[in-house]
Amino acid sequence: MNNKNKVIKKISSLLGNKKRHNPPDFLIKIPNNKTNRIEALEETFIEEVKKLSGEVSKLKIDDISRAIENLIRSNEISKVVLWTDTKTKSYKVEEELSKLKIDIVYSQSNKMEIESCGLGITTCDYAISDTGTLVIMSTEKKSSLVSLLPPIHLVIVTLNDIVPNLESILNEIKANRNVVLISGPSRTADIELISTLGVHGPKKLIIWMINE
Amino acid sequence: MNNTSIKIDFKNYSDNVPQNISCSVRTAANLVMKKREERIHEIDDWEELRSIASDIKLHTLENLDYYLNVFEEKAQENGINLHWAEISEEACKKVLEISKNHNVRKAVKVKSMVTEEIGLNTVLEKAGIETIETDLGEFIIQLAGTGPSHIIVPAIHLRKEQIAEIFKKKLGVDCPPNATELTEIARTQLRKQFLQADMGISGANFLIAETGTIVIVSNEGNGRFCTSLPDLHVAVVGIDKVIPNWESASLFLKMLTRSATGQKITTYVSFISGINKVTGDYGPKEIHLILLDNSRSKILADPIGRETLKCIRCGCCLNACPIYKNVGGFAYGWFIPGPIGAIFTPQILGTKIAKELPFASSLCGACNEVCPVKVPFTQILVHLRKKIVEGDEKNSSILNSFQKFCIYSIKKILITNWLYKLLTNLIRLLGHSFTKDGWIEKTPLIFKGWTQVRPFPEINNQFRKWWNKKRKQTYE
Repeated sequence: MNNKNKVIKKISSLLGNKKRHNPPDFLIKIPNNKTNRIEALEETFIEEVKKLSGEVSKLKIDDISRAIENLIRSNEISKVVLWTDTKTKSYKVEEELSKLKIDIVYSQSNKMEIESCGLGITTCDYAISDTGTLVIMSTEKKSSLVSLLPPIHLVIVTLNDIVPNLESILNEIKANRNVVLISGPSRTADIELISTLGVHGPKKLIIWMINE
Repeated sequence: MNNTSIKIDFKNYSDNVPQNISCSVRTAANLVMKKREERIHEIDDWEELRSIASDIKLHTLENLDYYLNVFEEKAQENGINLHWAEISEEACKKVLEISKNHNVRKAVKVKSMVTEEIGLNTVLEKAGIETIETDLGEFIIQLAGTGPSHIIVPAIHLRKEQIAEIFKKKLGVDCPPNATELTEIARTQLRKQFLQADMGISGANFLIAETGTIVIVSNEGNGRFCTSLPDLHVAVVGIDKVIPNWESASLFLKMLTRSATGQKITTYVSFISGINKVTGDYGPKEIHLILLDNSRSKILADPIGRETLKCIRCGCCLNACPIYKNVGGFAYGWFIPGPIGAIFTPQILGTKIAKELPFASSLCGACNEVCPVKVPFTQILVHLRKKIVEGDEKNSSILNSFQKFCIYSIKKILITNWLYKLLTNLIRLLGHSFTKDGWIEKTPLIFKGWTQVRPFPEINNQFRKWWNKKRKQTYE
């Protein structure tokens, strides 16, 4: 309390102790959308994710079961962590995993449990087209650790999730306690500027665009 | 590089920079600038965005007391514990106090320049708290025991072979010198640390006043690890990091990532607005944020120096600076090198310690051109040079009086015809006594510098005589 008063008083007096008003409305430029057509936005989104070394496939909702099986087998996964919100549940991923006798961990579990999984499956709150970014607003059922700890992160995205740019959803996300923007797999260039994937976060980011 | 109280000898340090450091720094800088160019060309109105960004920052600084109050109110509403530190020592003390209260034995750190500014690592290590840098570059140089050579890629001066050696020596792990395998080793080592750590320490790229939000960007993911795995998250942030609202945050993110690494957006951006009230083991149980002044308020008082605080720490000025690209980061003597270091360090540590830094520039202005928030580097450098040359109050008044007298005298002589004629004739006559064959070999006394390298021509100020004669001839 003491220190705060000292710092603020110092600043106020140095700036001339003027009465402060609300900030002027800065003309923050919203980028020009070249198009509002959802298909074009989807194409841009896919293009941007690929530029970031993410893997994108377009799937029909019926293809999900087979796709999960392929993913599990080809990556030799034995334990998966899932989000448990309604949207993610609607894709019936858990049922398919049980069929394959895979160990299932839920979003609410502790960090050690989540860490031991080979794959994390989530949906997303928004998918930003102009930068290929996924927006996740964390809750208990949608823990951000599911998208962080396992080496492979799978995201199921629909056309409804897609928005043109970050500016268009600011009001929707600002009230949330914990928001994460994810653009591609984890990367670094700290060693001789050589681009390497999977430093701390997931090595692979897989996106399934579902046609509903 | 921690707090320094010894004079920063830029000339000496830069004379002794090993060749490999200049090479690697230059390569890194040029590559980032190339990528930055590509990103900028994708935007129609980059210059306009720079002006808007600069205006927003300046507005925030001019109303900083207001925004700090708003930020504190919102952050505390959301369960973030706020602390204020006037000087570095207070900030370190507070972090130590929080660590002791939570029995912290191990801490993991996201790369944070302000924690280097206050020398936090040393303080924690002395108190027996293991403090581990998790940014790959910082992790490597922490093991190597050296400082960073660049603010974005701190280990750029080390070759793969050297890094493999360091890993073998300090981690006891044998590894072929290739980037993928070296990264894998770091991943495994640090994963253990993330999960065992009692505390995560971070800085912040921005603080959003509107909602009391901490914004952290990272490409590796260590930003997310440090702020969501341990039960305790402590952030130390300079008061100049406050921005008004989310709209400006989206603009600044755009400017930052393009300028720092030539990316449209970093892999991860975290917006932390408080504790998740719902119980669940997926976030820290306590967040402490320490707001640091450390002379920033003093800089705020100087209307020219104030523009220094617009800086968003992108490192672009470094990449454009021909001086920095030749000498690398170590020569600047503190944690922040390049043009921004040359203006920030003297204003924080004082002009006695950092006297040489404002002169470590050719004033080419490349930094002015690339800065995303239009920090007027050359203007501030000249302003600081003036301050240094004029010295402190006591000396400057004597100097000032003498200088004033000299200027007055010269003015009087130049505007008074007979005085001018008298004095110039006197000098000519005096000069005769030293002239031989039309040249003065040695000028006497305090003027001897004029003839150090070559002789001075005979003083023959006969112009007016010649002109008068010529004029008479012409009109006759």
